[in-house]
Amino acid sequence: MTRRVTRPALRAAAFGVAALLALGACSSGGGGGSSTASTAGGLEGEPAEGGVVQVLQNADFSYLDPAKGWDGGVNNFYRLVYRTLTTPASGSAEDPNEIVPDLATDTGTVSDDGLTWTFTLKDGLKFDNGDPITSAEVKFGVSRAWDPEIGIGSPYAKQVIDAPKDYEGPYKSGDLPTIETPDDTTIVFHLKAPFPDFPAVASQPNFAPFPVGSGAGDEFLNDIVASGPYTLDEYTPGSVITLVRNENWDAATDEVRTAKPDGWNFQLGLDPATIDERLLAGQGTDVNAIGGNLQPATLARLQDPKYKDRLVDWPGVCTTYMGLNTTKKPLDDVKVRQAISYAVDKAAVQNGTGGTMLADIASTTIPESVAGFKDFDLYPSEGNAGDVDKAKELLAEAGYPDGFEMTLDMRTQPKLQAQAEAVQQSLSRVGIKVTFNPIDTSKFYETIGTPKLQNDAAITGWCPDWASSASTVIPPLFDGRRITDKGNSNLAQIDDPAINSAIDDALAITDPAAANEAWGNLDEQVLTEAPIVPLLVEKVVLLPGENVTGVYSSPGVATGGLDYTGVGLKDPSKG
Amino acid sequence: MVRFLVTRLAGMVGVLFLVVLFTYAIFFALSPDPAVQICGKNCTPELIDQIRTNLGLDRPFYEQFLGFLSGLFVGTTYGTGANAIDCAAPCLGYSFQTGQPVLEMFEQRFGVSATLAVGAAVLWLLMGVSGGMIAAIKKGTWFDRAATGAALGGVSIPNYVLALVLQYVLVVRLGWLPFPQAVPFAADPGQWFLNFVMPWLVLAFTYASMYQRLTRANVLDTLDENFVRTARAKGLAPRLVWRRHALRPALTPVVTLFGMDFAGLLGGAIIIETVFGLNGIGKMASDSITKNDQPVIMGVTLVAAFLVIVGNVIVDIVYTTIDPRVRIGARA
Amino acid sequence: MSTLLEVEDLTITFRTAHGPVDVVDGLSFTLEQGASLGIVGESGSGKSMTSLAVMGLLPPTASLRGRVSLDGADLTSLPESKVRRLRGDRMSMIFQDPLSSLNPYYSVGMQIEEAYRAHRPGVTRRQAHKVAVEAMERVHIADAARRVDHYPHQFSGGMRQRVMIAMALSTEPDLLIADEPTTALDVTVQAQILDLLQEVRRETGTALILISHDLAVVSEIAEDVVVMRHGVAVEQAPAERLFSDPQHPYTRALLDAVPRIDDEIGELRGIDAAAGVGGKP
Repeated sequence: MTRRVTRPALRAAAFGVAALLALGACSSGGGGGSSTASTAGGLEGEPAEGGVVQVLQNADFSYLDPAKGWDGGVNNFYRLVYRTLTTPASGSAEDPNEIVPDLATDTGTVSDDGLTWTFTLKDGLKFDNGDPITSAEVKFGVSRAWDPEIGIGSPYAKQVIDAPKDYEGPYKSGDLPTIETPDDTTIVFHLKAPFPDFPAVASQPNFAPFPVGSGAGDEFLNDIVASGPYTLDEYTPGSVITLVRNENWDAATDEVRTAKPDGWNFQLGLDPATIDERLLAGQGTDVNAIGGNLQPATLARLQDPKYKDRLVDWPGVCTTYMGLNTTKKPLDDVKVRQAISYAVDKAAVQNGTGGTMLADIASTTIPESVAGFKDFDLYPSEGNAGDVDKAKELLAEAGYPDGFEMTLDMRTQPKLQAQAEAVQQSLSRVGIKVTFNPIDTSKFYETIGTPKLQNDAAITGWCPDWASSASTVIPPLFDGRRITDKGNSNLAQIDDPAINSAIDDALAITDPAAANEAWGNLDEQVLTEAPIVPLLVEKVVLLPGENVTGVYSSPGVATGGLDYTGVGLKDPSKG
Repeated sequence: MVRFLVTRLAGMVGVLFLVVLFTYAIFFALSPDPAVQICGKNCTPELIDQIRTNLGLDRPFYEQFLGFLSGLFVGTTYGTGANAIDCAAPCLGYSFQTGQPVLEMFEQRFGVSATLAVGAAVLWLLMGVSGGMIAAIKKGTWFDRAATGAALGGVSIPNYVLALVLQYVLVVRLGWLPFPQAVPFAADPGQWFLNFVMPWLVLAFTYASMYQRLTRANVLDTLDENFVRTARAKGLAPRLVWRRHALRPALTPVVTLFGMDFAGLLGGAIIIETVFGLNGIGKMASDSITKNDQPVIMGVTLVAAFLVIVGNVIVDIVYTTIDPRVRIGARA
Repeated sequence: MSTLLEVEDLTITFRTAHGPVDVVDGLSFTLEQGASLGIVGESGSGKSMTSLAVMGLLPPTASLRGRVSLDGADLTSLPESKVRRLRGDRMSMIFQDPLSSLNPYYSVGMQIEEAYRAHRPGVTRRQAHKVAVEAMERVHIADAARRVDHYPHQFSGGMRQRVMIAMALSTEPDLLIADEPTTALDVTVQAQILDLLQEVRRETGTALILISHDLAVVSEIAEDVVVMRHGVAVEQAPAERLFSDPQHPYTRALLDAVPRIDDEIGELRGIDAAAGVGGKP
């Protein structure tokens, strides 16, 4: 995995070295990244003990309850206050994508038939009120995922763990017999079918423990029962979340979190442009502040040398792609789809998105920062501007020498519109006339996710649910058996038995490295059918405050953003 | 007087009912399926159906609507068994997105919007009304032209532009004010006050411009009235003529307009709150609309309509106390 | 009797977009103490402007030449603050439309008290209130003690004019100017108001200038009459002589234009400007 921290002198050299290492490491499935040399006092320094980190953000967190919430922003937050059986490694680790033990002593032992996973809990684990965390509490926490009102977050527990047919969670249906707790430190899960990626499932937020019987109704609306290094101090919805130290968290039991700051202060509901202004200005406590992605409009001002030492420009984990609906003529012809893959001017799409600082061009479905990435380009062209000749040749072979017409579902927000226009422009070069079907953002996913409503193509994005393997990238997008009437993710509606069985094979591989190699090969195999055209991987551009350090990316937890668990202040007395 | 109030209240209820019905119907007919939006990625049709049942979206329109209405008066209980949540009257429902009771969301945010409204109101009355009065008195002079020009600008400039420009100038460039941060009054009154200065200024500027123009026009009209001529003919001191005979009639329409504006503002200033990151009702309204959070949208619509209508009634009552010609029961 | 008001060669000029316009040109007349003068003319003749000039209430766009002296004091050369002291105290004015001339927001009593207290500093509210009630009684408003707290819209047209008169007389002025006081009223009420004005004059000895386009109204009250046309006095004479033996053709035309109950049925003759009647003498 590559991360880039901008430094004027070393940048070019570091990029070259890192890219080489990434190619080698990632294709073997380990996703090993090399870190550029860090200077003490820089962004990757060792944080000092103490101080309060400020987080400036626009949106509120969806839920404080980890069984309910599930998106890149809130998962990152959960890691500060909740612990799970396993968790992605810290962003500063050799391989941040690796799943490492958290509450458990290891990443679990699987039975021979692959249907039973056993974990042993560490000693000395406590909630913020001092009560011990035993297997019963872990089991209770996980079983909440079956409650129809509460378990609306990560779906994996329910999908993978076996349960009685009408089980509706502990509040309605009582005990879940398929999770066993033979003693206080042992927990056993019975699965429906073998799932080698189960350690990744156990790292999901809804594997956080809770005192048995707690959390019914709206109890966790405004309250956190913390198992992690911090607990909730103050919460004003839409306005502020303050965290303070959980005195009962034992650092000796936690290899991932450094928890150097004394507290965290999340300021919510801020205007995005204002957040950027504050990070640029660095007034008062804002020197201790971190924010989300910078607005494109702000990027021009970052050329000022005084920001060079603070600017973060990481590759993301979400692939922006154009799905081609294989059920609509003439996109049912693979040659036509391949022609489109050649014709698209990805450099123009990159420009429309804001340039090289904001996006990397993608030629694969799996992004570079996710384990399983294999680097290939089946439809290469000079400068990624598209190969018009090759495209025309393929179109002619397919019987469309003069092109054809197609409708693209798109959204009218500036960046998305620019992307759509770039695609439209590039395809017009080969005679393909693209008509836009603008859809309101709030209705977009509903439309493209409903096969009946879909048009010929749509530009959208996909983020994996974990980065330790590509098992959450390939299957949802390309498994024909997962096509649904509503909420469908396989936009291409591709249903190829060869691909389907290759997916099954890859899912069954127990060795992570081998599995990731299989995913990488499968990505290449799928793209020969060109059901989608990968376009970009959008980057993470951040400007942490000048007193902030311990800044690392976590593809698995924060969708490539800043991993909170390592962050701290250089000088706690500032701000 | 009692009969007047009763009739107005009955009318009020009628209008509110229609507002709620209309909004509900629009939402029902036109908005995208909230269940799909909540479902997010990895959505399955079963999950969507489950969410729809949870939220009661699978019931027919009239049932949902009546459920909402009855909740307003007697409250409802959501869920069953251990998960059951009691929602006391007036139950405005539960937010789809946060699971919080809508009424509670209001309570948390009303203070901010109210503070914004009150502070801005004080400023705009001072700036607008006195500016208009002086401009009228000194009609044609440089002050009049400057004030009227500024008012024209204030009415024309979109307030979000003004907000961002002001913030850039005052905070980033000059550093006179800090960036607004959410600080409760009890914790740090000074900072709390400073946070509101820019929002107050922007809001007040827009309204003050309107009020300056209105006041100026009204005062000039009133000065042409015959009874002002009579007052002068009686030999009253000019200041007395102004204050007693010109201003009082001129300001009556301003007072009634103010009542309406203020009541409307209590329902939240959407743009100002969003730009400055103030956690008020306006921001909540804006967020809920983009996220398609129906119960919150309903709650906001209902409350905003209620405030405007109540403001209307109060203004009418106040008007009868100010203007003797419209007093109830006044007969020649 | 001594001269109360002397107007000498009064010329009032207005600045307009088309250049200066003389609305009154070289007007002169005198008024003795306790006498009554009628100023007659069509609209636009300058009669109202004359009264405003006397009161010092001309708009800022008007400039004045000539002399207006009240009891020997030259009003045109006095500063505004001094004129204001006389205005409403030594000379009062009532206007054409009593409804719009009274402030609807205040009770009539308050408006009378205000007129009184403006010129009697040191008078208490209670004393002023008493004066107001008495003033209303003097103009024959029934139940004055109760009605003093009523608002203008609660009175009929005639009553309102009585209130105006009461207000004007509360300070016992030497001069009362009545600008078209009956024009907005019913015919029957007109007579009442005119009778009231006569009565008041008799009781208080106040001099009266009555301005009207209506000759009948003027003939009732005025001892002397000034006929104005286009800002110029075309004829000035004692009332009796003017009505019985008008000299100027314009005056004659005016008189002829008034229908009389004992007229023979015949043509109503209007003023024919084209026939060359009128113009500067």
